[in-house]
Amino acid sequence: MIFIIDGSADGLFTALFNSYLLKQFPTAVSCGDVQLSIDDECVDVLTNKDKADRVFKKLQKILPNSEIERIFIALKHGDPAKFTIVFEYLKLIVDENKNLSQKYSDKRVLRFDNLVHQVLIEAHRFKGFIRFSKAPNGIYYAKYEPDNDITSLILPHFKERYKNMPFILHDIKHDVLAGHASGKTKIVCKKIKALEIEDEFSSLFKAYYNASFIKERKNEKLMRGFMPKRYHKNLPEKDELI
Amino acid sequence: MDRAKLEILADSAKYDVSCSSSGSSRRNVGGLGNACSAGICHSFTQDGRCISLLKILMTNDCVYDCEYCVNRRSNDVKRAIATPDEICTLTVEFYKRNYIEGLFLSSAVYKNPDYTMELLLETVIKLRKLYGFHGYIHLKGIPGADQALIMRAGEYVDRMSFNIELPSEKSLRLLAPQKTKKNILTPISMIYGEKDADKSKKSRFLPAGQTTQMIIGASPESDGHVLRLTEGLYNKYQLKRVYYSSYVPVIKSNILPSVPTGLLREHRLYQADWLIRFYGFKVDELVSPNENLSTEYDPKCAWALKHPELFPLDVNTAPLEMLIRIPGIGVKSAHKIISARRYGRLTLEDFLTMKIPLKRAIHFITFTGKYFGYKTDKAITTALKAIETNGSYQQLTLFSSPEVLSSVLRGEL
Ligand code: SF4
Repeated sequence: MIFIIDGSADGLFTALFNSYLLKQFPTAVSCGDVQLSIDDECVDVLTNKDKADRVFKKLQKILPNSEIERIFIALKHGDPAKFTIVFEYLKLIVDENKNLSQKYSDKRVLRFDNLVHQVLIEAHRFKGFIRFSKAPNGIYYAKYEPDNDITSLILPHFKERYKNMPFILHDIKHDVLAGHASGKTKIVCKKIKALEIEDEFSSLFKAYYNASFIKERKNEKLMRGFMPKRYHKNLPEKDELI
Repeated sequence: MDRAKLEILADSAKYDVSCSSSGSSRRNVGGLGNACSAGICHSFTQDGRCISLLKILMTNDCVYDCEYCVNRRSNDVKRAIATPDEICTLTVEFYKRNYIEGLFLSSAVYKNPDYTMELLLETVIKLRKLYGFHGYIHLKGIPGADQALIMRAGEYVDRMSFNIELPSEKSLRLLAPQKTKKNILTPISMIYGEKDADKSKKSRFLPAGQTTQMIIGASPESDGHVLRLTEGLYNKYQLKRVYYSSYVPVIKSNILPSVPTGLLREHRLYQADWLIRFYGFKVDELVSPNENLSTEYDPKCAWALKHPELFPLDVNTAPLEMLIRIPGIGVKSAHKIISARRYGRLTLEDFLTMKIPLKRAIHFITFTGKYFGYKTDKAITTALKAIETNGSYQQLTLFSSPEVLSSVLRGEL
């Protein structure tokens, strides 16, 4: 049996509530947009705020805040299998009524931990890989395509760094936009075409990038391990046209 | 700054290995930027090194004649010199676009040490005061410059380094004749004294401390010698890091080796350095004074093989400080083991689920008395050697990725 949820955290919490109510536990939890095979029995879960809140309160009783936070971080993962993984993990926590977040010898804990870890690693990487271009109106604009929905995780870092600088972060894969001006930030989900901005410094940076390379030690594989190819298209130093 | 000048000044600076910008937290108080204690890599060069800082020389026009250096006076290369404002503008504009974490400014000795140091000082003061830049600055000091200039610069930058250059005074005299041990060690010890006198957290003097660097393989010193020097520097001057740079011949010389020192040697030194700083090892345990580190095994493995009386260790009872001495088990895995042990006795299956690397460790551990490794010493050493030849060691896996990882582990996000 597969539970179909709307993709929100509340939807997932409702699913957990329903399964205890019905005493029926799904083999998988998924969001509408996944292909299912014919013989899967599907049950639609209608997100219900009250049910979700009750689950959330229960979790808050068992887990410290830092662990609650990690649930939401895991849900930012780009892999649709995340719903099942988080569901299984939460079910374990509720069943045992104990904070088992460090019981790494349990596969459910480990899978959950990996989700969180991958999201955090990517967020950390993008603190480095974000590239702003200066638009003629003085706003700095960055477009990027991360695997996971990390914008809300990296925004505080850029807000702190560029206090007096208006900027826009644009995740064109997840259609998330974050704006900052004079210490105020806002995040919206909206499909907007990416901007193309010419910036004279991008070619200087590319020149710097190429000059920094020690030819005797060429090792593209190592480079790509740290900076995977799929990220290259939004990095000016990797742009062949500049 | 125009492109041609940037290329000359960046090209000359690239052999400097210090890529890390970590170790300093500087909050942004209204201006531009902060320094992030976790260290952020903004890009990676085609040789796989992290680009974190704009690493550039003020000038490559040098009056000195160090044997190993492309910029030495007697070498015929294109010379360029930047103005303080050119450096400041480039730094700020790169920083605003998130290309870099900050500036790593260094210089050849232009005219004389004092003149050069004054140029560097002017640049960092302008960058902070006029350009309002609060990002990270690492300044390479000029040995032999006036002490007052050096100490003043320390108030404006996060980190300073005076490079040891070569692991012995004899080699220094031979290969860098205008530099002296005294000129290098005096500022290092002065900086240490200043930092030691004001230990308060708020101290604005070099919040990220000082580091140094030496070239490995240009001169005959052994690893045992190099690591003793390193340990001494850590203990005596509280250096944050000692960097090793494998010698690469970039210029014709009659007294230097004509082949580059392999990256394996540099890699082994970093491994040993890592064990000394984070795993509680003493140099004496790892290598004797005139010896080199093993090329066949990593230093921890080599140590463990020499101590059969300590192994196998039982993973269900060994304390943390012993767990981290097991070959192949890092600090992260050791902590995982300690955490997971709280929920019950661990088995081999648990280790597999927890993805604890077992390739090396399996021959050095038991699970509540059960041993799964090979039975004879010969089989074990053959297996361990095979891992080394298959495993692709990389210069940066050591000092780049763990920093990235550890920052995530510290919950820095
Ligand atoms: S002082 Fe020596 S190492 Fe430094 S730039 Fe001049 S010649 Fe090169």
